Amino acid sequence: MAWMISRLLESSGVGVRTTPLATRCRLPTSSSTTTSICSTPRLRGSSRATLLGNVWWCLTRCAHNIDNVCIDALSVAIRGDTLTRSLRNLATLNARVGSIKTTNADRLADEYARLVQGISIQGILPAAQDDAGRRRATADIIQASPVIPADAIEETVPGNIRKAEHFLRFLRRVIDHLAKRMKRPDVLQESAPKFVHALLVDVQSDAKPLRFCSERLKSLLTTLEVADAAAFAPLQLVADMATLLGTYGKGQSFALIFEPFDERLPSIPDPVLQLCCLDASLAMKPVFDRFQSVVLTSGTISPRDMYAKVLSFTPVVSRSYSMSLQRNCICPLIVSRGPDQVAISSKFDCRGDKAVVRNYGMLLVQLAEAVPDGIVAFFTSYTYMESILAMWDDMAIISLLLERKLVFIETPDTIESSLALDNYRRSCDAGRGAIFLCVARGKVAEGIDFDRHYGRAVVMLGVPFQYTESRVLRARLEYMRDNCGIREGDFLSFDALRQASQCLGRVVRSKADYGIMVLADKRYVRADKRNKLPQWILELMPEANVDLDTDAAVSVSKAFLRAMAQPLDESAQLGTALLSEADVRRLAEKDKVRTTELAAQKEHAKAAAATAPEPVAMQMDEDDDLVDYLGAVGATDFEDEAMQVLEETEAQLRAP
Amino acid sequence: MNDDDDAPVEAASRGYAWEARFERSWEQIQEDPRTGRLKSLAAVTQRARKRRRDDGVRGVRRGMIRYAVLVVDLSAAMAATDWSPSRGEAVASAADTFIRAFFDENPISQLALVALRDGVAELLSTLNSSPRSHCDALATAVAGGCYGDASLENGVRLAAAVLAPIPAYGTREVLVLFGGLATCDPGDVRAAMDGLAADGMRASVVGIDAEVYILSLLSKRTGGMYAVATGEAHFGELLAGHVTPPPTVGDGVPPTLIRMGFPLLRALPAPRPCFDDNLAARRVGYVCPRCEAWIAHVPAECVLCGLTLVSSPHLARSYHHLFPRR
Repeated sequence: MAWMISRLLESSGVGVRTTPLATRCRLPTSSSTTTSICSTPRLRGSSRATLLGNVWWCLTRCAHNIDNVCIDALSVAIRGDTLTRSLRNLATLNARVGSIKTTNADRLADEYARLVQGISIQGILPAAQDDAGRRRATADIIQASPVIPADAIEETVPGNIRKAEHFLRFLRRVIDHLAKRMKRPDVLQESAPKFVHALLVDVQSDAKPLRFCSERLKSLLTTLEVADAAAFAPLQLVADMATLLGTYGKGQSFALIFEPFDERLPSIPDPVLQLCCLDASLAMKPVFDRFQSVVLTSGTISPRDMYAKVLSFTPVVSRSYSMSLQRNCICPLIVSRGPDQVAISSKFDCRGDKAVVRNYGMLLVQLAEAVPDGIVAFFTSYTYMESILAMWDDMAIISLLLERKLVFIETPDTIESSLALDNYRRSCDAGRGAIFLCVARGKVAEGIDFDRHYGRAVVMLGVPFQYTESRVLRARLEYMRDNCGIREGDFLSFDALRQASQCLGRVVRSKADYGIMVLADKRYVRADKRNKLPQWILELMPEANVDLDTDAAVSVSKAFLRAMAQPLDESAQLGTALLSEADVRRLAEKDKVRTTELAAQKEHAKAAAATAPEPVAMQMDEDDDLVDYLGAVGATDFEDEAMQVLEETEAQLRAP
Repeated sequence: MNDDDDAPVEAASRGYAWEARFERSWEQIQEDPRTGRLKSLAAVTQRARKRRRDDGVRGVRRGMIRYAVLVVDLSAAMAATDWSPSRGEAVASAADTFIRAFFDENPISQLALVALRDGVAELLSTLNSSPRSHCDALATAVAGGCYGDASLENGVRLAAAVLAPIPAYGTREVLVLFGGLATCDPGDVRAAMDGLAADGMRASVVGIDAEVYILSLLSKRTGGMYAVATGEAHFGELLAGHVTPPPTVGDGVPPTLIRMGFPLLRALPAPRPCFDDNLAARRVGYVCPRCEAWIAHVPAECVLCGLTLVSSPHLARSYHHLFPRR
């Protein structure tokens, strides 16, 4: 993959420096959460602070969840106990400030002076100091602020929060206001400007101090030399919320939702105040601005135009690649009926239907009879899984399952689930065979691979829609309907199919691996859902495998397993699924020719620039060499660097 | 010549026309898309079958004296009726054919039979060179029915115990016929496999319908072969592939002298009880050259003194494995 990326970049003629993250990518499917190169630290994964210099490409893997990651990066949820804990944190800080004032007052005085001059918030001076470079370098250093760098204010801290006691008092007023708002017994849903206005009236301030809350708190924690910064996480959360409210409080992209209890469990009081970012493109904007080219890759980005709409950008290249396989190593099936021809579904109205539940059970039992080693079954939610398991127990389906394979279940508790997973693997290793029942949006579905014998078949029981009554989701759907022109039903089914594809992709991790993928719901047969599956699944699913009943599905699986158990002819793979030595040598030869061509063109351009110094208006189409163009207009510094990076890449290619 | 080799197999499966499996005669010929000419695939399939039987290696030294344990799965998975009359009986008849062919090809070798049934491994017949005793024992066992779980670990341990006292000049093999998809073991099956590998015993597996991880691990660890049969005929072919001895790995065993006896066929005026035939009285038999015991069948191991008794045609039969024809 590293080789392929270098080829891509070279073919466009742009100078490149590959970062460690970019060279680690894999095709076609990848597990694990999104890790992306971005200068916003709150995006989960890596915040690479080492991107100094001319980095032109940003390569993101597992980008199918990127809109969720962008939303989560700019959203904050505050619970009841967060506020109580933050009050406690405040008290601790007040005490610390008091003690520091008596013992080591000049530390506070230094901090005050720094804030007045506005040299640096954290007291860390950036390396490159020239004016143009400073701005970019500060943006690259890990920022203390939860907002995107373009919106981070470059002014000095306002006077009413420069002194430590004043700042703590300001925070106290903010927390009191939030606590007051959270005392209501009913639901509150407001736009951000209204909420911010009420907050500012209560706190008797304007919006500017709000914007500095996060940074000011970090600076204070550094000055007080707090060893255990994690203990102050609740207070930092409140400060983050204040900063976000101050920065984005004017637009319509944010909403505030307060729920006194979770609707599915109305008897348990659980007040949550959520600042929800509704627009996923906000967090992506700095990435698009900072890098010249951004590549989003994933095994399950589908349909691609949905991402373009949600992140509001126009892709220059949008491609979908299929796997080059010698034999069809996956067998996707859509089962829509049970043996009694009753349609099976996880729709809300079908959930209590005994016939549907029995059909799901018998599907699993018959698969357990036909498929060796490990089977993974995904349910749409924990509550659904629990209710189905209870009904299966009454119907004695669990005992039928246990006769054939051992059964392990994922629970919301992490330790229990990891124990279950560990024992599942041991059972598969010992030849006993096992079934793992887990949830499509749970921890196991996000991170764990079930390759080789750990997952010979995966069953998706139902369509994993999100909880559609959630207010946060509703707010987001409304926003997307109004601003991006995406219909609610489209987005929900896109999200569900994306999750289903992720679950299906868990079982096959290499070309020598094989697996059966069963989608068990009648709604998958419809074209609008089926077409949202990624291309590599659709290609290997013939028309005959759509809309099967249980018996037909089991016989198709048996035939598939029989075919896969036959020995693989290694030599026949060369040329189709694997590159032979001759192919690799041929490609390396082409690289060498290409680099010499580039060098020759550069020489030619240099000579042309020497003779004709005035810039030439060149027509730039995609095939033009950027180096060539810049050479013509005399940007020699860039050329040198480009040549150096090209040589580096060449050296990388030659090295194994 | 080629047809003669396959005639017994086909004759056995013929029977009545309505009992035969549905035959797709249109798959026997293939049309060349460009010219439209028809080509028979029979020759191609036959050549492939022959290649499989030899496992593709010719002119390679193979073991002459084989001590093999045939482990047959008689668990509940073999009671399935997708093969006729049931999986267990079809496998038993294929094993029957295999045993006869095995002794035909390797006369001085010995075989033992183990059954996996109800979680235990039973030794159906001890290590000996009489095909009839093995076939009888197998028939009785299958008549007892297929039920319970198959325990691979117990079968492997029993086979290892049976083969443990064998001296180094014999190739020690375990051939497992496994019809299920899982094994239910009391202990650690991987430790049992490691024990086999450490002792240099080769385990091969012939499975049915799907590739099971633990079986492929067993064959890989011990240097054997794992093949999965797609149907009854294919199962018989795969089993036939084990009739020829496996190629010797590495330098083999340093040369040793093996004491063997070559008794002559004698006819007595009056019948005399035979030691290896449950003391049945016979007039015609063999006399062990060392202890002068009266033996009914040869090749055999003398019951009294343990001397290997062979006749020269048997030795000549196995000779070409040791020194392969060019």
